[in-house]
Amino acid sequence: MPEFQSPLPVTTSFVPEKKYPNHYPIATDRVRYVGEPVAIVVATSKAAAEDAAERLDIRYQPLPPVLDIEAALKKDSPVLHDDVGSNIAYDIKRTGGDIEAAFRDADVRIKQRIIQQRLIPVAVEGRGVVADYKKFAKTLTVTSSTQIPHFVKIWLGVILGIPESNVRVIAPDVGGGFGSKIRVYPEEVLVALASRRLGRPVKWTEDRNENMKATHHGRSQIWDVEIAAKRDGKVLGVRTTQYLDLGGYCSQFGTFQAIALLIIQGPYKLPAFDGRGVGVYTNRTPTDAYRGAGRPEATHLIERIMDLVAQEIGMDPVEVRRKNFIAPSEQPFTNLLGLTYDSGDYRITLDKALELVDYPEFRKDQVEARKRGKYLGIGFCTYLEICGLGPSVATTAAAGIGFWGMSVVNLHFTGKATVIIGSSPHGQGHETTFAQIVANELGLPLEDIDVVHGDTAIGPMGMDTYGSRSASVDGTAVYLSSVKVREKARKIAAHLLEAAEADIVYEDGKAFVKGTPSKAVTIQEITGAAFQPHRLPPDMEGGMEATTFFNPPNFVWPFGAHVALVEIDGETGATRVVRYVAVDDCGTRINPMVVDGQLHGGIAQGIGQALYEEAVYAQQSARG
Amino acid sequence: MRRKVAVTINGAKHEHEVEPRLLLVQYIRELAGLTGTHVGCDTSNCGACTVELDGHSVKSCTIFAVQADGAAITTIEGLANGTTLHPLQQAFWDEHGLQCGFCTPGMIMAAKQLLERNPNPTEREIRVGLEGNLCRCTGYHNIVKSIQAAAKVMAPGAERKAPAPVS
Repeated sequence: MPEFQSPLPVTTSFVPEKKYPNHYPIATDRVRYVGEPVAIVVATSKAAAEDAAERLDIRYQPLPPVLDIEAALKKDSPVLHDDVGSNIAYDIKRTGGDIEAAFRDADVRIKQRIIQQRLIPVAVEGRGVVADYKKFAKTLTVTSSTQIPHFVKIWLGVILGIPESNVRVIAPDVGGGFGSKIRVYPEEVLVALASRRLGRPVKWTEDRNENMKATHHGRSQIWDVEIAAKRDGKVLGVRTTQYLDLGGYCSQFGTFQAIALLIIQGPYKLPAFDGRGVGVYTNRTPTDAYRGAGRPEATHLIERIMDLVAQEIGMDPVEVRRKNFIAPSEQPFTNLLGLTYDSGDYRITLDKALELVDYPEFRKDQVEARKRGKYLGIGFCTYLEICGLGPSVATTAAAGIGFWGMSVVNLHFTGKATVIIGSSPHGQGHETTFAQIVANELGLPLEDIDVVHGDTAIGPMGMDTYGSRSASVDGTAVYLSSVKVREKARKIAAHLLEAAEADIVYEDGKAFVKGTPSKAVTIQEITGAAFQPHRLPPDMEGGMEATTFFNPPNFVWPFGAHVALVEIDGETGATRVVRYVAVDDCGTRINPMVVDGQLHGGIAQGIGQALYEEAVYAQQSARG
Repeated sequence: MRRKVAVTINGAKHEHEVEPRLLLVQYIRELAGLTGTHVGCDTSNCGACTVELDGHSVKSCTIFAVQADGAAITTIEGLANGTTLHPLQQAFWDEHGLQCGFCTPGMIMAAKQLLERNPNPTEREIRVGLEGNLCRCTGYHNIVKSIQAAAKVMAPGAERKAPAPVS
């Protein structure tokens, strides 16, 4: 493919052992999934382009398809990628503790298969790309509905052979992502290529039909699990295999979902874990991050394990969880895969949730309802989540993750602030939350702070938004830049007030000598002075700006307890969620309303997977 | 074979020669230049394209522009009064009724009609009334709260608290 100087990117993180084929933005010899681009039509209207597309005469030689994980694993299965040699992208182990001893010492051994069905992320805004290549300046500007403008910038340059400095990517207000806009997509490259060839701007917007097929899917996993437990409720060991359907190609962060293997232990003191991960290629849409990406799967697995043990030994599932919780006195706790939890008292959130649903009373109601032919159910989840992607220090051995947070806090002459953030929000409210951080540290009014993002031309490289990282990683970068600005403000204030810096107090946007708040200089006055060299200390540079690249020392580990009360119709199986209680500890809530909003949406998507959603492929094409 | 379409959108007259197959939503976005009305699904499922046409809320992705000839249309851009937001817009802001905001214009246009028909709806009536509008971010919880809050402000006889002007 002479047009492309590189295939599409695939991260080396998460599963460094994987084998993956070159994936070019357009099919070359074989088409491997429905939704893979096979031709580009450029026209002056959407209707004309669709008319022309219908007139393309594309002939396919049908090949036997590989339509699910089990088919892909069969010895005589057709192989999707000759250069990989089989349909297996990786077959890895992630282990800790003595699993043989766990099963030897167990009173009960339980086996279970768990399906994580294939889901479609369905952001209400599909993807859209506008590319504008200027042939004499040799610059490319791409506006894209993406979560990762900075990564798109790098890779458009690499793939199309344009210096990175000549590429600008803008992610304006993006209409939702949920992981589905986390990759460099074929269409971003193709639209940019079309613009370069034609010498004029080219726009492409996917419709919902395309979104369902061409935007990546999520989950699509089979889990086999064996559990070793004692009759007293203690879980001794878990042996499991995660079969992950990568789809037709290995997507950029497709193997992120294997991170599940590192955190299945959750908030429990599991003595032994034997995890195997197998990634396979199938003739389905590639999978990649979707709402949690690997973490909900890990949580679901360990929570099912707790319930299966409870059922097997006849113990209350709440008691089984309590018996296995890591005690607060054991924090910080290093799990079997070497990840260290910072803190957590998992009993508190569980107790609070049980109190809110009046657990003893529910159990009585349940018995009464059963007599009337009604089935009331209760489900528990006492999760622990790995968030804040990602610390290079804590993960290079396990998964090779190293993502920093970036911020620039820049005060203008009049004391108004522009805050450039490395994250690229698409509904998470960073404009509000990050402005609050700056307001809090500098004492500026909120309306004087403008948070800007999603344009690679405005600041240094950021690491964008995914993996529950923005508040803890980029938010911390914003905090650190604010502190740097405040420290400079203190130095300038000391100079203006002719006092020692150690005697300066900074409070609510004002600096004054300790004990004399009436003779204060405001941050606006200080900033004004910062742009007038004659008012600065002689050894100080002008300006009131700070940049931070924050490499987090660890992940963050929020946790909580969710309880669902459901009613099931005994005749039809129809299930209704009667009540849902969530008690979460995410640390300091910068904006409680935003936090609640994120939880509402997450819970709705979780209920969606549990009860309503699945992407189903027919086992045969319509033509047989 | 182009045909003439004349419509009034948010009080302003628009007239264009269009292909008969042009959808109303494309007319509004591309010819009238009002991009607050969004396209989410092209199939009438999601309601992101909801506008008001001669007093009825309609999904503009499922109407041809030529069918709207002569109609008076209101889009999300027509709701604010100068720098004062419509009570529904203000309530969505106050109650955090949006996250990515993509479904919000359609959600507000549908909610406007809902409140005109039923000024004091129950939570259930709001949820049923908006079943033609999909949101993937909020889980609907704060959307319902926003509409309840707006209903209080908009109720006949309610003391109109002037919302803060848009800065």
